[in-house]
Amino acid sequence: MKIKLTVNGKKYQRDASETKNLLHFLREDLGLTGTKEGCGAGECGACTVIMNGKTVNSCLILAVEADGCEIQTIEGEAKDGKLTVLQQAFHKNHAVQCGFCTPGMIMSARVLLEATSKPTVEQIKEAIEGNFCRCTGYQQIIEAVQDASGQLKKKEGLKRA
Amino acid sequence: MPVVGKSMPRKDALDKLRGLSRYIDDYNFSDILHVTTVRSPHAYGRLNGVDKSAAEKMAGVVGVITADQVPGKNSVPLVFDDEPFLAQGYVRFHGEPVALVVAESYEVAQAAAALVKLDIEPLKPVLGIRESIEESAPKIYGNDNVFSRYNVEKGNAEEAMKSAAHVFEQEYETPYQEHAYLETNGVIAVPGNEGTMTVYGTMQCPFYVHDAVAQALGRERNQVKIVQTTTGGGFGGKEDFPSLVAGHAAIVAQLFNRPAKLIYKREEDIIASSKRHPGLIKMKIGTDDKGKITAALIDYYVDGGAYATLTPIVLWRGTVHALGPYECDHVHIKSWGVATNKVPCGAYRGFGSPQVIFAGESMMDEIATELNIDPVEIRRINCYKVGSSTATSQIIDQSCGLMETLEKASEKADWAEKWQRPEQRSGVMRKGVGVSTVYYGVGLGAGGKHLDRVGTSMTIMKDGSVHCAIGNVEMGQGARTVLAQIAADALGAPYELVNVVEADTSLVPDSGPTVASRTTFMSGNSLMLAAEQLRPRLLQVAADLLGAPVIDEVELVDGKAFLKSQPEGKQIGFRELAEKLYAYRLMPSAFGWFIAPDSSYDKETGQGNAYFVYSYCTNIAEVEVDMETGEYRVTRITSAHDMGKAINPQQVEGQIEGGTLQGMGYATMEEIRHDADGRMLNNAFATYILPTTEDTPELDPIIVEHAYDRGPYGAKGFGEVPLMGVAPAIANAIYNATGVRIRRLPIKPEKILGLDK
Amino acid sequence: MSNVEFIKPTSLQDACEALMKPDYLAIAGGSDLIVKMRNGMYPNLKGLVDISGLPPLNTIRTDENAVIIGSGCTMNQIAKDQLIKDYFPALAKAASTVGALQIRNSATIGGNVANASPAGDTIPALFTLVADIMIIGCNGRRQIPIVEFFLSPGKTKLAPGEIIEGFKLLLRKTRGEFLKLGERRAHAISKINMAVSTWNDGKNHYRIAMGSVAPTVLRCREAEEYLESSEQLDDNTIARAAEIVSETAKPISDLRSTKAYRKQMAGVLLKRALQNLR
Repeated sequence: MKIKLTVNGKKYQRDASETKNLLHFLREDLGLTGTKEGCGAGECGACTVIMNGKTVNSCLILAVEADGCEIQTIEGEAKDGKLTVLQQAFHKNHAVQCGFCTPGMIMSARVLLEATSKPTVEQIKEAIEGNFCRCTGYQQIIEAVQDASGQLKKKEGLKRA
Repeated sequence: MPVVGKSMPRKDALDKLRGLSRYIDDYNFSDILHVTTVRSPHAYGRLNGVDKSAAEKMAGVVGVITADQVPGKNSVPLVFDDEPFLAQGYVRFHGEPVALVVAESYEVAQAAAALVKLDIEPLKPVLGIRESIEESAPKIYGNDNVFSRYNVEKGNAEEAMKSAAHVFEQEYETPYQEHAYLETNGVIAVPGNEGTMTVYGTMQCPFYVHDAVAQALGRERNQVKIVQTTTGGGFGGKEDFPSLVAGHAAIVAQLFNRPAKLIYKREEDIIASSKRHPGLIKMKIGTDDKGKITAALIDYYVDGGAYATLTPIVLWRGTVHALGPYECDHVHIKSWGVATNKVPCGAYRGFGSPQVIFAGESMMDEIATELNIDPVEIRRINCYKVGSSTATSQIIDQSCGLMETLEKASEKADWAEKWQRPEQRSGVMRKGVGVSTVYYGVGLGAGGKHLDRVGTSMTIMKDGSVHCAIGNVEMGQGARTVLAQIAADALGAPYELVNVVEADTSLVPDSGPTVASRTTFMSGNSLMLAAEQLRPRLLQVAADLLGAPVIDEVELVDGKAFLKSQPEGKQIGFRELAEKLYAYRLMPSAFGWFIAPDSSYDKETGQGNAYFVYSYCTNIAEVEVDMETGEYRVTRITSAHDMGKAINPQQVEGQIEGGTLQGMGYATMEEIRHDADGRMLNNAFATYILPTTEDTPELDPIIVEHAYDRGPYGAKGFGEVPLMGVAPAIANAIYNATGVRIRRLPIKPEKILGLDK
Repeated sequence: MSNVEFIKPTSLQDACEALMKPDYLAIAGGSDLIVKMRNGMYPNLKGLVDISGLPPLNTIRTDENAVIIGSGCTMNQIAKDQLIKDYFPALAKAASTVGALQIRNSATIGGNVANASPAGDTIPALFTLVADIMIIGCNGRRQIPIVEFFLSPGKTKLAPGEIIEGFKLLLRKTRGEFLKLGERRAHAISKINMAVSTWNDGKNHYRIAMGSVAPTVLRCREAEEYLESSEQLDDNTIARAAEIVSETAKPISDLRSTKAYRKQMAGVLLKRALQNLR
């Protein structure tokens, strides 16, 4: 089925298999391999993308369902090759280890920060509760989001949980 | 400025943050074949045949491969070589690979796999440790179902037990743990000219994969090349298992002379890949009136699953560590690695230790309770210090920061204020604190010393950039960053110019596995050996340019050379030194080959210097338990670790935090379940429960540095340690809150309320 | 491209007609359906009918003395809706506990109900709010009280060609609570869940329902009647009601929990819900 959609501001028109999920469509048909498959069943959040302003598991959306939608993926986060404040904060706070959860994690944090400029720790946790990370224990990720929102007081008075 | 000891940014983070890092599924090759695996639906059975006809007729199917088509030897090389690449004659666990379906697309391969008919005559499986070791049990391995056994005997524990003032005896059980690295197993095998094969993939141990692919194909090692791709987590789960996956893809690639891609779905990754061994630990400990341990008798069993894989060495490590970091003159530890008809168990962060640590640290808490001693105090009484003798009679001669971790953690967690006896607590919501202490032998130790060597190939490029090929891998733990820091300082190069590249078996000789918390220590040392050779050549160039008569008068730090006598004077940059190095035709490459410090082991008594050095930690867990629902929240875990030297403190904290949460998962929610026929029931993330950010306690890492004189800048290695003692710290905290002792992990609310049956 | 037809109907009528064909399934958020497709549960699937784009299904609106929640409303939409929060707090709370944020952004209430899982979190809440299920088919519309809708796990009274249009709730202010126990603190399937709604129209009314304690969600009629006949909601009354629901629960042991735990927790959750509503 022919679909049209906008990904990272760029318009695409493709013939998509009716049973292919958005994740595989992005990776295989558009070559955007930054979005990862961790479980294929909507549990781990590695495939999180932003669809019409909201985070979704792209493994649980058919590509044909995304017809006419606006999608943002990790490839659209940095602008003109320059890392966003959010990405820089992940870098600085060591919020990346194996990196497989990172693209989805950034997408979840991105939507949070769009809606809430100074999120509380509880809000950060809720925003990323659907993004599994097996490496970091989440703490440096939470610190990175705090830092990106100008709330991290390094090594003092840091409310960590 | 030297960079060792500084939290330098990760070398690999920028690409990962932009979605540019290429993991195995992000690669493609033209003319590629897709492979899926047909697996046994039974735990045990006679494999009478495989009917491929329907699958082979399907459009797009290229072939269906079974055991008889393996070009080389149909066994995965590891300790005993007992696991076949593809089942032959028998199937021995639910999920065992029987056939490979090869097709032009993944979808076709998957659809065709459903059409492959397996003729299996089911047999009654053996499903648990207790069942397997019964005299009357059907024999599924050898004549006693035991893969391997060990004996560690110091003094005379049986006699000493008789005269102990107090004797404590308990049994503890621990479950499977699934690694749940976020990137599933996967490889691409690409055939080349003259019978060569290159395999790309996600892995921890490229040299194991090298052995496996050569063996599966019947090729020479110099015809096979393994290239590790950016790896999305390992935790031990990509130690032995990628050998099998790579063997499968390489077999297909060779048979059809086309690239072959094999990427696991999560469900098959969980059903087929190795796990942490379930453990059964029987402990009998004798003490004097003050809580000093005087005798220890420990029986340790692990459920190895259907094939031996790494069980013999996992068991050895657990056996040696079974008593915990406590002095005792009379110790007798016996252990058995037992066969069952379940998924083979292998390496998982801690490698046979978390099971015995759960038992031992719970036992210490039980002893403290019974003798009315503060649980921190009983550890002060028994813990290793410099000069202590281990269960294998090894004298801890240096670098023992255990007591400092105990003091720092208990002070930071405010232990003295928070600990009180469970009887003193009341109400629906009850708080509790628990402690555990851990020691861990770094590296492969006497059990694997023949593998404990690593190589580094270091080249200063003409532009001054430094290329380091090493024998260990980056799998997310930060090796490339930490090792670049070590190399930069050892060489005097700027950190930015040093690159430690991903592993490739054609660049360095077999350097053993990336396991056992050995990478910082082993590869760090081999980088230093390489740098030691290159540095005098750089100094020679610098001396010449600075007009110094001897190189001793020149300093080279952080990419700048200058006369020691004139630190503010003329400086030569690293790029210029490199350019001149080439112009002077000095050799710009060096090879470092580091052999681990010696260790020893007596087969009969288990006595000797089991590991060359140990790392130490103390965990203090705090919980709040809802006495009506049994639900509880782990509110905070304070962990103090002695790793010798924190090369990159921020990364050390990341290891502590991440490992601690994995340990919390093991303690509180993770387990694999089977039905009565041995079929795995929860091979998906909806049913294998992992901690989310909402479950995460406040994590409070503390770094303690008792330098090891053989370590690079004093570092020992500790990546596994953060996971290992978390479960008993939480179990002890639960006891402290509720008075309920949990001796079988995980600690579920149902168990706390006694409603788990 | 594939053997499955994807239909995006422009009217409910077209959707129903498309769903009359054998092996055609409705897809709304897709969060359950796509997992089931992936697990090979629909080997003969011929077509998917995407009802998510039909505007009447995606709104929460009032209609005289009723509130109609379109079946296509997402969990987050419901959890954040001020009217739902004010009038039907049990439902708002239930919706907010489903899955994780990404799931709540796409999973719909219609899908949650049509799946007929005994653990579906919005179902007990809808039970306590005496919801009617508005069904549309090729031959017109019908309504079924939600308590009569479920046959067994995964099975409902929905006939081929029928879709859930929405849920009709009396526009009446209720107070309510929804509590669940899962295997972790968030992003969890319920081991047991419990909804309580209460309102006063001159006399106190109670509705109680719980999930994961029987093949379908259970209404706890005996406990409701006991509470409605009690003079006041004191500790003794609450304790007795808790005993009653514990008796009502008919759970089994499975991967997530045990029979004994679920039975005891039925009482604990009702006690807590009632204490919160006191």
